[in-house]
Amino acid sequence: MFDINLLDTPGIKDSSKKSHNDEILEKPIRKELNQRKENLKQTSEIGILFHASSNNGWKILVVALLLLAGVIVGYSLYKNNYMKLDSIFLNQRKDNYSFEKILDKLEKYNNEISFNYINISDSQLFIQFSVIEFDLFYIILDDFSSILYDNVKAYRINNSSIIDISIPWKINENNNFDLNLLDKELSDVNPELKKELYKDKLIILTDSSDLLKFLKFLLEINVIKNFHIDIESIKSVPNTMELYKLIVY
Amino acid sequence: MLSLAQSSDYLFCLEWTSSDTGPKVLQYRKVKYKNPESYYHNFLDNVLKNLDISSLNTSNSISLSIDISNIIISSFNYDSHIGLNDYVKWYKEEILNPYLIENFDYYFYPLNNIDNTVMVIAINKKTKNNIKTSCAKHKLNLTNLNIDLFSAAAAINIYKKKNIQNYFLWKIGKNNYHYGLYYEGNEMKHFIKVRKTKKIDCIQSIGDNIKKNELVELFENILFKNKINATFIDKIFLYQSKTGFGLMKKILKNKKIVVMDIGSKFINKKSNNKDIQFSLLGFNENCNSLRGIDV
Repeated sequence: MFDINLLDTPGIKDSSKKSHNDEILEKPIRKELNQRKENLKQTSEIGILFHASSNNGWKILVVALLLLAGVIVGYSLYKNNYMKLDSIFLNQRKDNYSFEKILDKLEKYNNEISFNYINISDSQLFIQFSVIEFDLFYIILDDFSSILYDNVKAYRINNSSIIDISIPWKINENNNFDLNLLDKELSDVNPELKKELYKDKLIILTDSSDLLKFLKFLLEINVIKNFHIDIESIKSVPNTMELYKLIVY
Repeated sequence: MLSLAQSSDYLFCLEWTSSDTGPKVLQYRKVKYKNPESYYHNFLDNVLKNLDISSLNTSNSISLSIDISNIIISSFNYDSHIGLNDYVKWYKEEILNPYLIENFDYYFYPLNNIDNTVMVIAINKKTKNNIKTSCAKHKLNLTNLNIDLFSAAAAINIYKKKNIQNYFLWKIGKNNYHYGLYYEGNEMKHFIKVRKTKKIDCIQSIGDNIKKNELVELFENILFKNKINATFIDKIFLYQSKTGFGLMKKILKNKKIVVMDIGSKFINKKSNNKDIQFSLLGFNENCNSLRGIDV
């Protein structure tokens, strides 16, 4: 039973419970987080410095006038339909959806995540994975958000930390590179890859590392947009290597 | 030891001293007191006029419990992975405005519950300073400054048997308001304030949401059906500081309900007339003065 005594020094009245932050062991990615915190702090200090040095009235006046001029010019351009701000914003964001960058980040966190489902269809590229250790959940979410903005979503269900990535996608229907060619290329590159061509579908069995290598390979030979791909985790014996079934069609 | 407990427009004043048989009451009064506008400025000047101050020489200690309307009580839930210290820092910087930070003292009480709730209590610095100054003016040493039902919670240990694990402190307030503190194994887990109209309206709830629903249902069952179905509570410790004991007499027939009557216990005012007996229930809120004393 905690004692309330408003004569005590204000603040937190139960310091016995150690924060989870303090208990997390130092990890390489934790260092990255600390670095980001440091960068954020420096940014804030720059902001404070600017604030402190801008006490002079004339400087504030100049900045205010420049801002006002910018707003007026922007508004007049927008009003006269010289430019559509919405479309500029969306185009700029669409250009940033680099699948290569996504794969790089998935590779970076490969040991920290477990893929649930990947689907490449004619409308979207969808990737869902679970973060194994919760203390990395926000770090990974933050990292993907830096390149995908609100196309990455995260949620916690039944103690599982899940991240969804969904970006617009378009399959290139008119192409000469078919499944037979892909099968042959894969055999050349990795003869040990377990795969089978069956009824217009290429079925591949792989682990998470080869899974990413496969997607990178499609990207390198510029055929990633030629196929529909379904990837799902195969329930395997606990504490063994996680396997995935890839269906390419 | 002089103990004062403010409840609405009254101050329950109790002077006691320790003896071989436990605390011995030297004098007690219920004094009319209107304070809020003056922020307790020189509040003891009028109070001490109503007491026999000659006996105060035996001790210069004083404790005070103030009405819950004199403080701000709120809460927030935090993510334990962010850490409470970081969260409180963020809360102060981003949620509270500079006026509040400058003029109020903030206390944060983690409830260590499922939802990671922190109960936040804030007291106006002006009120606190006026109380301290008035005590100093009368050469009294203020040892404890508490809040009404939180102060009464100290009386639970006198009534609670060791096998009681989960219990509820219930204060019947004025105008159909009811206040409650829910405990699990001596740890406070929930604060609730409800109002009885044609149903039970939850005015404020601090703690797990699931417990809020259970407590509202508890109030509904007792106040409308006069029965207790709640299996999650072993005992309910009940008191009030208002006059009018109709509701109390009606509901205390239930075996799970125990009336806390610390006033009668120490003042030895026994009577078969419940109205006379219950007239001392307001003194439960003087129990912050008994902290650390074996009673």
